[in-house]
Amino acid sequence: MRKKIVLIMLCVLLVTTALVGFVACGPSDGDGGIAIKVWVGDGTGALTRQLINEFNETNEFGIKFFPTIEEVSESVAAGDVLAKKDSAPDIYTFAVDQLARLVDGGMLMDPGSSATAFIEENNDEGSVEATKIGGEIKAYPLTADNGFFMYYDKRVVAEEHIGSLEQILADCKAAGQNFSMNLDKDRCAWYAASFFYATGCVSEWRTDASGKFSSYNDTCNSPEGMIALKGMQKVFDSGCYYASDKVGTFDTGIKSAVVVSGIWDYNAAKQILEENLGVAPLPSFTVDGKSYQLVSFLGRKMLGIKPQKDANMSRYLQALAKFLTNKESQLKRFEAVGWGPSNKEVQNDERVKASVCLDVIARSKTVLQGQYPDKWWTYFQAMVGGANGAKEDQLQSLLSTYTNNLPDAMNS
Amino acid sequence: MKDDEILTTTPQNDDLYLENAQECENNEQDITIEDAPIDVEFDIAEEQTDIDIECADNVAFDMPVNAPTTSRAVYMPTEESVRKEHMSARRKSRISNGVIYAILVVMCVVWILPFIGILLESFRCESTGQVGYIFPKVWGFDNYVRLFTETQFPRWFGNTLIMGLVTAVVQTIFVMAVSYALSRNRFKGRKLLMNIMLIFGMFPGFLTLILLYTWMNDWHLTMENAPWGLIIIYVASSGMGYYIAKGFFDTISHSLDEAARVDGATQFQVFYKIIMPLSKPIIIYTILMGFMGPWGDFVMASFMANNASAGYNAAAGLQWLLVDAKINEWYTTFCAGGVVVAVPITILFMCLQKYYVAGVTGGAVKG
Amino acid sequence: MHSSLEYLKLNKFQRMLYKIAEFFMNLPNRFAAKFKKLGLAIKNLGVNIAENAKDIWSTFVHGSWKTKVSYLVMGFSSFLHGQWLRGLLFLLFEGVFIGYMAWTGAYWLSKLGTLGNVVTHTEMVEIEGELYPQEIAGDNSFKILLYSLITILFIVAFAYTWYQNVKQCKALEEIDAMGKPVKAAKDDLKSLLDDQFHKTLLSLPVFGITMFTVLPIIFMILVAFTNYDADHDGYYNLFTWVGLENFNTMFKLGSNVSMAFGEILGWTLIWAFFATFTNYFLGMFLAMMINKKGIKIKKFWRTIFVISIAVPQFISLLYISNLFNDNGIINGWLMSLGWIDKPISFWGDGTLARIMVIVINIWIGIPYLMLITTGILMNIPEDLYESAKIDGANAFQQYAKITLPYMLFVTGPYLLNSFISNINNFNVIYLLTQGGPANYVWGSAGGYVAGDTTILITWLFGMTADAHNYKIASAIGIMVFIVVAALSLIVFNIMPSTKREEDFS
Repeated sequence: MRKKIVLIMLCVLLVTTALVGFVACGPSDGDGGIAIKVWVGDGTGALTRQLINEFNETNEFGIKFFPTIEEVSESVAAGDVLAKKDSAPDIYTFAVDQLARLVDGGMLMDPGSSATAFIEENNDEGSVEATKIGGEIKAYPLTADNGFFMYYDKRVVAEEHIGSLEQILADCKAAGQNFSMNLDKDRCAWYAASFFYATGCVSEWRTDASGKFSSYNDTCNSPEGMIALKGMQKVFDSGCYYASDKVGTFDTGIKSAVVVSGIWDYNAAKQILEENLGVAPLPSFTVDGKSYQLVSFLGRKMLGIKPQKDANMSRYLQALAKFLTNKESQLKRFEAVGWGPSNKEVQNDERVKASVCLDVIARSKTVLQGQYPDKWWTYFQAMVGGANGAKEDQLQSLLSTYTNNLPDAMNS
Repeated sequence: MKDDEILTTTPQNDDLYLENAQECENNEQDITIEDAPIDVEFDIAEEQTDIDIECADNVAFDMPVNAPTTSRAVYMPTEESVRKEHMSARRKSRISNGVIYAILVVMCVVWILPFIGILLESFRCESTGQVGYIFPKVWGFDNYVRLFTETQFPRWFGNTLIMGLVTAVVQTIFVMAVSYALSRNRFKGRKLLMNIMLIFGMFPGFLTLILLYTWMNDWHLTMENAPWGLIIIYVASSGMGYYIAKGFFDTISHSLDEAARVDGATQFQVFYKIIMPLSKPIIIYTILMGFMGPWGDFVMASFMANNASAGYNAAAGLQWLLVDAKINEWYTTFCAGGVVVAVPITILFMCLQKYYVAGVTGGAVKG
Repeated sequence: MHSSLEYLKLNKFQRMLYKIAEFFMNLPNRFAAKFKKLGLAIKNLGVNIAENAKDIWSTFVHGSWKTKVSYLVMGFSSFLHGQWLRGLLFLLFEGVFIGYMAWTGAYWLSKLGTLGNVVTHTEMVEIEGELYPQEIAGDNSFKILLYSLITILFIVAFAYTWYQNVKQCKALEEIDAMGKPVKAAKDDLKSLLDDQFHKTLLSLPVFGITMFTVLPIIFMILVAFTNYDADHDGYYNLFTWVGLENFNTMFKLGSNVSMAFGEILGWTLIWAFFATFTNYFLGMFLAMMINKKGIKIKKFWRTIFVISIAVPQFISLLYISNLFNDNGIINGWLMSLGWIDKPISFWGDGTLARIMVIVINIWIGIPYLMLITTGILMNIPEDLYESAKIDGANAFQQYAKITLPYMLFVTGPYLLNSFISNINNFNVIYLLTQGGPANYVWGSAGGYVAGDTTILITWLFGMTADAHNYKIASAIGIMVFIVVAALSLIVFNIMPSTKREEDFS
């Protein structure tokens, strides 16, 4: 009997919760506008909704969009767009390295002449270049800040040591704390590339107009590449290396004193370390008496439009994309989430110039991140990851294996 | 009340069992009244009730499939043996019982600890990320408030509940239909059908996810409507899980059907009026399994929802709070969500536990 | 192999080993027998079809005009005999079939050979003096394959129905010849609830299984013969048939895929072995401990363990996975206790991660085994133990001589079954490690980096969901499928329960 009562109460409870759910989250009021699907990066959903509402008020066509907005992080958005093309969003943001894939997969609408002019006119040169495949602009620049740098604990790492990797590692070790940088875990290739670009190695990939990779120039399998791997091994063997790019490790059992991460972590880092937080460009490292400045791989976020079956929709969506990436929107985005603008005027805005992170990126040695085949990341990751714990004579075979795999990466 | 009813309606040898049980009770009373010392009385009572529960939980529904017939007889202690046994057992096994208690306590702590941990985390208010300690420094309901106001959790919960309810009902109908047909009817292609279902159940199902997505998407049953698409997918193939129910039907004597058929009942009437009422335990087991399925699924659920947060089930939605960019801000909220999902499911499960036990035991013995 | 005399000399343990060895030695024979059976079945099918075709032809030649018309207009003969329900259903089915084929079926089938050749492209449209792009949809290889397959299934169903129609005609002619009355529609309906009741019961579930299990599997098997991958997804870059190329890639000695396959298969078997047997024995011990006489509050102990079955795994496993993180609570404790000064990387070290998943799987699995074995343990006749005690057997001897043989006898099939299902145990691995830590020595293959705890099923998942490499994944899936299906068919058929099915009927 008792069980029965419990069961009945349970059912009532479950149903009530469900009803609350549907009442609270029932379809939001759309007054018959054009339904579109929008994917934006983490944390910008509310802002995007606000911006689209503004667009609805002010656009020249007198149309109203009724958006369904989802926060999908840039690292997975392109993958999901390509995996399920039928139900891909109409407008989405993605990271620059996905551009070729998306063009090849036919998921980006050509901006056309007016939008092209708008993009070229308003954004800095690097951002415009980054959106080009086969010499043509394919997407709308959104940010120009996707680089990485160093967050550190001022109590552990001395201010005068931050220029030298060896001294930073010594400081960390002396304090019994960690140097956190993701050099051998999932998605480490992005960070590890900084060692190779530091020694002058390059890995450049060119695509044809359709986004297919046509040729590459890779000099990693060289004495310089060897130096880069040796530099990485200095970190691996330091006894205070920890594979992570999470500033949360300042706080927890890891006891990081340095975390190599990007602009997206600034607020979290500030919250943990407060006035002890230091921000600096990447240091340089020394191998065989020669010093090499680490290079930050500078990525970007972009906004793309899925090709439409109706030319009118193309027109409206282009207008919306322009609106979402224009001067005012970029400024608002900077104010809301701190993302660095690609718009020339906004870059010169006093408030933007005062940003600690953007300042550090400006002072860093950077290289524009280009297009890479999907498999390149895997092979590069396999090489640098394999360097952890490898003996010196194994390093060469890592480099050779990597080079031998490159044709496969291109032809995939 | 209910328990007795089940016992009497359970097929075959349960009448025998019931008699045995009653006899046991009588025996027990005899002992206690006549000459047992007081502490022994307590012991025996404890032991006896335990066996009783066991019988109800396991043995009654446990198909006598593989067990040799002798083993099914419930051990009936006589006056003499009970007393002897207890005297010697007490001396010998006091130490070993102590050891067992210690092990059990330690194991219970290990088993229960993660749940305590989740519960404690859900009340932690001083920070929202992962931390290296277990007891919150600041207690409060913030995480629950955030869960219901700042995420779409109520929606996810409702989605899952609807999926659970519909799946439970339809899946039960399907499973009952298939297992009854396979157990009771001998038709051409029966063996073949059983083998096909067995073989196709072995294919790595994840490979077909993309196909199911594309197909469901053509019917607009993905993204926001993913729960409905998922219901179809869950239910459509559910007939393949017929083993346990079929094993149960196999143990119901055919003489019942034959008697009814002689009286002019149709197959349908036999199924509906005779077999179904006898199958309450296995029906409840199937309903329970059908209901719990959607609560635990997240791979398929998040695949079908394709980032549309309105179409998530509870698991996919909560998992979404754990992505790299969110985990520092939402970890404790995830734990709160875990508690909200786990508590009702656990209570339900506890209430219906004996049916579950009947199901898994039968399934294991059947293979 | 031993002779029977030698066998008798062996002790119990050796005999068990012998039996296990024999089981594995016989596997090839059993496989061979299966294939022989399969061949025979195919041959029989061929013979059947030939005979039926002959039968259909002779029915047509010797049949009345009603029958002859029925060959074209299904159900015609039934109508004329007053079986309007059957006739209507036949006719309706034919109508739907022809309509479907004309409307869309023929289109899909015509594209099946190439899987599409019209590429989706963009045209510029002028609106108010400016050009805007507009996408003109072309073929979609994926959908061509999918809907062609559905069409083929439909054709098979139609052919079968048509054959039934012919058989019906023949039966009606025979009835005519004997001058008996035909069954009315009411009787037809009635029989569906009576002697044809199993058809009513099975129709919907079997339809569901055909559409949602059989069809997708045939589809994925076909995908193994195409170049469907990240670069040819059939929407914008069409895919096409490539024959056995994917199998070549897979079996090429020393290729990335074959190396990774070997490693992962090895670990999958190790994992399945440990996951099955640690759970089995520890679960049994737990049940025995709780069952022991004199242990009180049995129900309480069981309930504690059962909770971990009730709580959805995604909650408990994700939490446990986080517990053992480098910055998780376990490391936090160990460090605050001063036992370690650097976090132990439970998930970062390959060997450690493998041990961890097996250990945590014990946490997941023991409660099930406890529930299962409790009932069976209670069934062991008490007098066996009594007599063993009188003979002076100690607790271990009692266990080895009575409990274990009995348990193995009763739950043997379950053990084999759970071994097979552990091969496909996705949840534990995926929720705990996602297959990591990544192994760079052999792991990177097919555009995906597998790790030390990756088992076949998580590998396939990663390769499809992350790398979209469907062609190779399907080829691997087929291999896995053949091995597992053959194993389980054998296991299923030597299980005592199937053999004794009829005992209870």
